[in-house]
Amino acid sequence: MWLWLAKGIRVPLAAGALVLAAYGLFFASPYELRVLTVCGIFALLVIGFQYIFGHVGAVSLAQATFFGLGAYVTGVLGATYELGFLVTFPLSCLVPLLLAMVVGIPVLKLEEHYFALATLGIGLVVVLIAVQWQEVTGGTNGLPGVPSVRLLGVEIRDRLHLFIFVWSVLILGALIAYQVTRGLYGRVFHLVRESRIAASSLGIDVDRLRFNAFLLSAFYGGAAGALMAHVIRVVSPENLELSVMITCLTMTVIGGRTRIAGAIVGAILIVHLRESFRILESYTLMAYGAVTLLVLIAAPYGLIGALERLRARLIPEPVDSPPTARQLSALTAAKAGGEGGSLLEVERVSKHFGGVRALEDVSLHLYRGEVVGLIGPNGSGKTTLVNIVSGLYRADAGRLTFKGQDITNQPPHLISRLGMARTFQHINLADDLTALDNIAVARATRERSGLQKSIFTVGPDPCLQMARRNAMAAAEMLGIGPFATTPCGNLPYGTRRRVEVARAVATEPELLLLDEPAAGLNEEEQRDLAARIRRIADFGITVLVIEHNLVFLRSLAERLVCLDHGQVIASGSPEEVQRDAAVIEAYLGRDEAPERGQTVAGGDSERLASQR
Amino acid sequence: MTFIQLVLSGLALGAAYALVALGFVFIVNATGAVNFAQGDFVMAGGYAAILLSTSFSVSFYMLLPLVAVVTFLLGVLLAWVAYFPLMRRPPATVFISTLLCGMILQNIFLVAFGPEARSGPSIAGAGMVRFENLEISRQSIATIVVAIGLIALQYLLFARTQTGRRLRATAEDRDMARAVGIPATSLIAVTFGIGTSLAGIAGALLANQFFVSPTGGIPLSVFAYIAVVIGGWGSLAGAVLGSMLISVFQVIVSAYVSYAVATGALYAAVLLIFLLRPQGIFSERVQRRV
Amino acid sequence: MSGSGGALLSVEDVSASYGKVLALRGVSLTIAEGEAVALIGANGAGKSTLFKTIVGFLEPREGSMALRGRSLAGLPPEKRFHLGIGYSPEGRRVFPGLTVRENLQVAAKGGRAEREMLLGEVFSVFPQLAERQDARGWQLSGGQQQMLAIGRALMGTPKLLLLDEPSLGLAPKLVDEVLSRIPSIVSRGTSVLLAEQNVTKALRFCDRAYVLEVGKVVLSGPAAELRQAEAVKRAYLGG
Repeated sequence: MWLWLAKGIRVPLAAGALVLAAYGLFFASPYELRVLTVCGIFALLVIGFQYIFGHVGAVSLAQATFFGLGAYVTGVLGATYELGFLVTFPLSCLVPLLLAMVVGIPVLKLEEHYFALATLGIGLVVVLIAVQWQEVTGGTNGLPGVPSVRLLGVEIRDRLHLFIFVWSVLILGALIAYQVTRGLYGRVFHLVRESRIAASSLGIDVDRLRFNAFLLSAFYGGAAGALMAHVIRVVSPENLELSVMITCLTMTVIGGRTRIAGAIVGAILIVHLRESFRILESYTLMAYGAVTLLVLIAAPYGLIGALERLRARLIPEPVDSPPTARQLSALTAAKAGGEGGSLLEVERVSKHFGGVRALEDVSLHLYRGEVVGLIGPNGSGKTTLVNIVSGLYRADAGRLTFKGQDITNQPPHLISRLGMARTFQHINLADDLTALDNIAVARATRERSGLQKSIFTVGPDPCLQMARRNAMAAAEMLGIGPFATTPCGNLPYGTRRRVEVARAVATEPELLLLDEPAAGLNEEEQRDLAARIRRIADFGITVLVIEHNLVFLRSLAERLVCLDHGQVIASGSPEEVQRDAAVIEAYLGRDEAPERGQTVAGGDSERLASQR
Repeated sequence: MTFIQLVLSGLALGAAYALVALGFVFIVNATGAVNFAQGDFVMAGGYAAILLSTSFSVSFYMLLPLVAVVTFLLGVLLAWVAYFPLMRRPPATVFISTLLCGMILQNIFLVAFGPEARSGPSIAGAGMVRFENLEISRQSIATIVVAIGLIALQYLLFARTQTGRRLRATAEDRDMARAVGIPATSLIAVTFGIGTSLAGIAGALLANQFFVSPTGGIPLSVFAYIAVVIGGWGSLAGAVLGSMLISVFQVIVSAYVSYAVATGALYAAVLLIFLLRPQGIFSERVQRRV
Repeated sequence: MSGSGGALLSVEDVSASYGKVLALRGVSLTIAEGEAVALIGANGAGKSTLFKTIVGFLEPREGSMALRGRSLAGLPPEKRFHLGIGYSPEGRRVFPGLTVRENLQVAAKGGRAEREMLLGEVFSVFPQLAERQDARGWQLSGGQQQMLAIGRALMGTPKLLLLDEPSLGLAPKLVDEVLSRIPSIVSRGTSVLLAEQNVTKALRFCDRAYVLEVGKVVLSGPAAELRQAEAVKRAYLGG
């Protein structure tokens, strides 16, 4: 308990919660109770918004739409059809959810700006319908006479009881949000936000995750809207308007995008700011626009985020001791899988970027258990090849087969799940997460981490615990155990590269693609890394290493393939390739005009295949 | 109203929208950022025109240039407040900051001019001009003429002058522009100024027929956004074309059915475009390098 | 030739970092007036970082830099360009939507007459550019883009030209064509600092060289000597 309180800013938060509860229950006037009730509703709305905006990082402008829709469902069903809370409330949550489902699939694929515009468009269409469909919605005047909450025969009319009721729903919503984001699933969100590419190449279905977050947002929005209808007893198009959306956005930005406490603090602050300056409405709006802008510039993580950072600077956190490593079982089993068979076949793959031919008719075979170095000057197409193999780029022509299955133009997360993992030339790690958690995210698929599972798990998240123990094993294989609990942003370049390798290893792949793992390492570190990769390969994992550095590769690779201008110009043992005239020319340049007779591509791919 | 007359008034509206969208694209191209306060600058232009003509009784020859100067300065201010401090953050951050600036502007209007919609001065005198059976207001003609003039002017600026070339170079690769001696930071501030002053002029042109109100800019921001999406992200000609398309569509459908249906159909069309071509109608999808 | 004209550029003990990662660790070097110097090193050795620091994209954490004795500290890239630092970056980065002519024009200061004169000079160094002056940047071949990038840097009549990996992605023949202009650029009074992976060629067209390894200068000397040095070979081919 004490240890739990010692982390983050939990002491002030717990104290704040107590003060707030005491104030609401014993001291607040009826007017203040009503204001607090509205705060609770907005906090619920914001917690919902945090899923899509904070955790996934997509600017949705549809949150007010979900809110208004929820309010209308309660309003219409309650006022016109006189249905009870137990019917109207679930439906108020479900209708926005349904809308999110229908629009979510196409809209979530859009790039940032388009997504924002599309969600805004949906909102504007819904406002139009609400205004025009007068028989049902009452048009611009709205619907009066929304009944109060009636639950199990008890009518909640008293302001204190309504306050307790709304805040109970809020606490439930907050609890679910806490469950969703506290464990491995939450760390997956974090990586998706930082780097969709890295997440998908670890086997994470990014589209699905974003979809789930969008649905959760809609669900919360609908719930908040329903409560609002019960509290103010009227529904009108105002509930749907952009100003509600801006209020919600403002609360989220000021409080903090990913913190539950941030949602509550943001809601309380903004609602009170508006209430206390009600007479000066427009001046207040001006002021809070300016203040929000200031927070956006000065405290990008919001007030709660700023507090957390302040605490981290003033009083260092007690660091968790790293967990005991648990062996990666599939990895050790891979050795038994036998060697020699074909694992990856790249057949005549081409890729163009505009007019630039990045790859031209490249063929390459990898056999189980071998370590192959892919070399070539800058811009020769090495990274493009790896991007195509791992599914990040679509090939313009050609065919890819992995473990006998056609993976041409398959999405990266499916390719990864077949047993392929990679690292990136430009490091793609979540800087705020520890090295251990960055690696643990790679276990999300294997641990079957999911939304339902995380909501209904009581006590510590077993997925996270297991993932961390496995991650520790991967970290130790790369010699980064001592840095496990350090946030990645604070690690030196070379170490971060090794975290990426460890993360790839933690998926227990059969094929490991490493893009310049030794860049930025000194000679001694390079030797160490080569030895460690060698040991990984000894488990029976096939490794393809992109490198410039031939010293590094010579101690590691059994076979080298050299690319130049998007074509394979040589392939063979390191000694052979290093002597190859075309390779020397590509790398060192020659004083004489070179003759590129026998080693030009074409013949090489056959030579490559016939070598075995 | 005949059909042709509807098209004509649609084109006049479209000409003003085109200026708004053009300004929007300038800023997108120069910074990659969406200026969601663009519509509020239209209102700023409208209010500036009202203020200048009523309080300072500026003659209508000087009206547009002065409105342009005022909104230009406001745009430069926007760059310093909402863009430069957030330049290195994700693009969504600037989107939010301009949204907030828009909100601040709206409330400044509210405090300064009150909540009711107001009509601006006419630029070319009141009344209609007749051609055969067609009647078109002098204001509409002035709008079209001014818009064509400004579009031609911006074309000349960008294609023919050293400043224009430097603005384009800055838009294409800001760091590289600085490395070849181009003062990119000032040029970006200038771009914001040009972008918002185009919106301001459009506002002054529209204020007479379509009224000015504190929150009247919000749908205009959305229209500019949609026009740019339809025309192809980043394309200047596309922005003009998209604006014309939208406004003619809107005017005609509003006349025969209703404004609400027109607006609804427009948004529905945009969503459909997203569904069928997520990259926009005309633009090619650019592969991201990993 | 080296050192005869006094130091044009002096870099002293410069350390620089990307984020929290130290990419340069106490690099010192000098370039004299009228010489061509090569900067050799593997990927990640810090060549581009050093260039970016000299150009002004990156402020050094420690150390100082001066051009003809004038400190560069705190000067933005556009000011450094006007002081005489021309930069042809890795990957060329010509302005794709501008024509060849416009690409060159934007980099010129002064009025129309001066611009036209400079344009003529660049066209005399790279006649191919004159032939394609109305083509857009993206329509050029890699070699032409490289020439354009160099020509653009020359429009500022620089005292020092920084060439970052001009051979990147070019066919060997084109590499020769590009690098062979270095002597004529030097003879017009512009010193050259060339970062290259293509060691043999770099050494052939330069007077002196520095070898960079993981952010440090590990070797320096006249090009002729370095051509024989083991360390150079080792850095590339593993001896």
